[in-house]
Amino acid sequence: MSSSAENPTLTTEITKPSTEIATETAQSAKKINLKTSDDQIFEVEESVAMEFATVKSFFEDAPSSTDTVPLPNVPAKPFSQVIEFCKEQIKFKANPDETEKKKSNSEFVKEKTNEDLVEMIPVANYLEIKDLLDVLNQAVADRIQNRSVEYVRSFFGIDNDFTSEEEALLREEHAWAFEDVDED
Amino acid sequence: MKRQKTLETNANNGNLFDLLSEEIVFTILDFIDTNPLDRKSFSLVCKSFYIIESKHRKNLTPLRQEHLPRILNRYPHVNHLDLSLCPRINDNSLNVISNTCKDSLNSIDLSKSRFFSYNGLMSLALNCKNLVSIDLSNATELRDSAAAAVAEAKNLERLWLGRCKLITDMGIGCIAVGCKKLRLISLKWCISVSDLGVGLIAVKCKEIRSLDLSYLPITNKCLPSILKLQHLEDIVLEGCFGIDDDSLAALKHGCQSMKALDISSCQHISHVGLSSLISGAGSLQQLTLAYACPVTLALANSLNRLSMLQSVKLDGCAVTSAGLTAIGNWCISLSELSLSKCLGVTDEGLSSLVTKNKDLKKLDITCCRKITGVSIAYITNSCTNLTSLRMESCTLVPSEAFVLIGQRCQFLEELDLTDNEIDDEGLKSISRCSNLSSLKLGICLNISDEGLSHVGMKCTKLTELDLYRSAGISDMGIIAISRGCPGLEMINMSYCIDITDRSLLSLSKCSRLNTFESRGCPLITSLGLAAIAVGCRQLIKLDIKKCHNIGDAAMLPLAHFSQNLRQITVSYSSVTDLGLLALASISCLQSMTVLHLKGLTPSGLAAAVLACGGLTKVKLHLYFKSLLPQPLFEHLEARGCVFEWRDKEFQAELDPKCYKFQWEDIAQ
Repeated sequence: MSSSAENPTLTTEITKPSTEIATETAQSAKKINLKTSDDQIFEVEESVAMEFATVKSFFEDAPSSTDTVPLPNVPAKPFSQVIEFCKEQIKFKANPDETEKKKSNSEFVKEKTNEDLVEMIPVANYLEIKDLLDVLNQAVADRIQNRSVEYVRSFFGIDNDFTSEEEALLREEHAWAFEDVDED
Repeated sequence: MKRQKTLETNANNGNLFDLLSEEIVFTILDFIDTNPLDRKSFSLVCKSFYIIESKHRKNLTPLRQEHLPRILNRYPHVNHLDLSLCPRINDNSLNVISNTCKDSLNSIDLSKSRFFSYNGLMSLALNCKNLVSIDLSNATELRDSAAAAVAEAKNLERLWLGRCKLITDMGIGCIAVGCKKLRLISLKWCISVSDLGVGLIAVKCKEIRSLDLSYLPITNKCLPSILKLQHLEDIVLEGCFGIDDDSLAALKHGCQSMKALDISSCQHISHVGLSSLISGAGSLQQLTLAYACPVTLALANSLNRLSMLQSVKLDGCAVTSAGLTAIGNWCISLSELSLSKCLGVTDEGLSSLVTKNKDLKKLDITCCRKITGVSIAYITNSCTNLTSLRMESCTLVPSEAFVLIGQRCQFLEELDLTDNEIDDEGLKSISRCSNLSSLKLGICLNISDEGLSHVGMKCTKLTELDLYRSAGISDMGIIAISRGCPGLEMINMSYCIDITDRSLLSLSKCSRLNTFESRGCPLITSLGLAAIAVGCRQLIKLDIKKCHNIGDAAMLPLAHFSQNLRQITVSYSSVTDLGLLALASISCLQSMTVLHLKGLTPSGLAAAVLACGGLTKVKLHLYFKSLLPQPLFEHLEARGCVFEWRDKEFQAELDPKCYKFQWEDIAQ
């Protein structure tokens, strides 16, 4: 594959479309190997891997690479769930149907445990999958609504680092100092 | 930022949240907006969440002005400050705000505060250079000096001065000269402002888009310069009695940019004056003529050329069939029409109008008492895209007609059938409207649980349900609603006398419920209300008047769980000193109605109102006025609380059916 397609100054009207077609046919069945932080290798179809902006830009920099792509910040468990999500998403690319897409997204998060959701967020963030990140952030917000502070702590698996005096003071401030936002 | 979190559940991965940018936590916070308590819980999780929440918050609605310095320091990026819950904001508070917020503040709401003067406003105007929006409505004691202080806010774009009765043309003149960027100004009820002040605004503030001049003593003199404003889109002249046909006839040219015009209650403007006012206003979209000139053939014809018109409101006007027919014959199809309380709406006029307006989305025919099933047949046949239909008290419409609504208007989101003949068959049909979010069935005596169950099964998006005095409804119907409509926010079951705690227990699963009214339900007890308190944490308004079996046992859980409660009515219940004192601990409680409580003593009442620092309104029996020391009331009034005194005798409850007959007698 020529690197000219990546370089606007060298691209001519004739060469650009032809390289694109060639790229598509050549890569239609192509698989990409991705290595997670816990050293597991995932063989992922290219169309799915291109959903990950981070991986996509890796290939834009080195189009002909056949190397295994290391994903140092991505553990295998949440990664497999992210792949599951992206496979579903691709179906809606060819055939956009917002209601079906929403339904599919809500089913996806419904089946996940709190831990799954929280683990997927940094992965979606690292791989720059915007749709997934939105879906996950919304799901997290939904699950911590109407819950106690203790619940939210255990949801995120976070230790309380306030002293009991600090916490008591804040709770008092919350009760007496301000109401929350009204809608914009 | 230093993060100290660890994920205990996932030892291999260590600090998962270390990988997250603040931006991601911000997005999660963006999605948390329905319940005030959620953000508070979030900020209490740990120090870094606290810091992130502090940076994220843009809007703040403080409850007490004494905490302002601390919370403004905590939230440095607040740009909208809503002080409508702090009635005691004074110059000192405004100084604190302007010196802390400085340039980050761009909008402030002072519409419920009365204790500040030009000093505080001057400090705001000089320190907060980016202020674009100030709401000073109801500041009835502000004078022209205060207006002059506002005039220093050079970047101001939106200003509300409703009911600032002491501000005169002089003050408005200062604002006109100082605030050149104004886009919106509301002078409603500024009765000391005349043609001169309004004219100055029109001459100096060329950016004006929206102008509210309701109830001003203005005449035709200021109109030519107003109509010359190049960007004017929205003008309200409600109740401007000084404007009449003669003066309007002299207008040389209309305003081309005008999109909305309101001349409600302008008794001296007829279709002739209206024609001159809208001449050239080819892009007019909304016209409001409530309680104004009669809707006749002549009026309809004079509006014929408005090709962009979408919404027409004729509430309370006398209309003729010829006038309605002529509106139907306009070349455009309206999307919104209100004929609420219009006299003279007949089947003939309404049918010919709706036949031509097939694109109507919103129709209001409240109290059109002459129309029958014929009109409903025409409406449902022609306007199948209706999203809102309000038809309270269309008493000649027979029950069969409501079946048509469900069959043909399935996009309805809002339906008001208060005081109508609808029965269970009608409700079953209406349950097909799967987008229904607001349904009002007050005083519908022919409906029962069976019909309501259909609504519960099919209308899953319902947020508002009014069953006021629909006495055929009992637990079965309410349980169906609670199971099928998890997003329910408002329910009124007042005087549905068969309702028991079973209904309340099932409603306690509707966690978004914010308004709960169950006046005169004798069978419900503290047990049921306690369940509501535990399950419905977002409760804002609660009315349990005449629920004799509700007492202190329900007030304690309310005090503990309902931290959002603003308004409560406990008259004629079994609440005593103890319960009222418990309620007083709710920090945002503003309004209390406490009449005819047998267990309430003067000292208990005094302790409760003293302890409840956020109170702005208390309704009491006159009996207490003489029993408590006058300085107590003076002290509370200085805190911003208003007392309303009632001396009604204790009233026994009427049978619901008997109520309706009595009510009809009065109406006739």
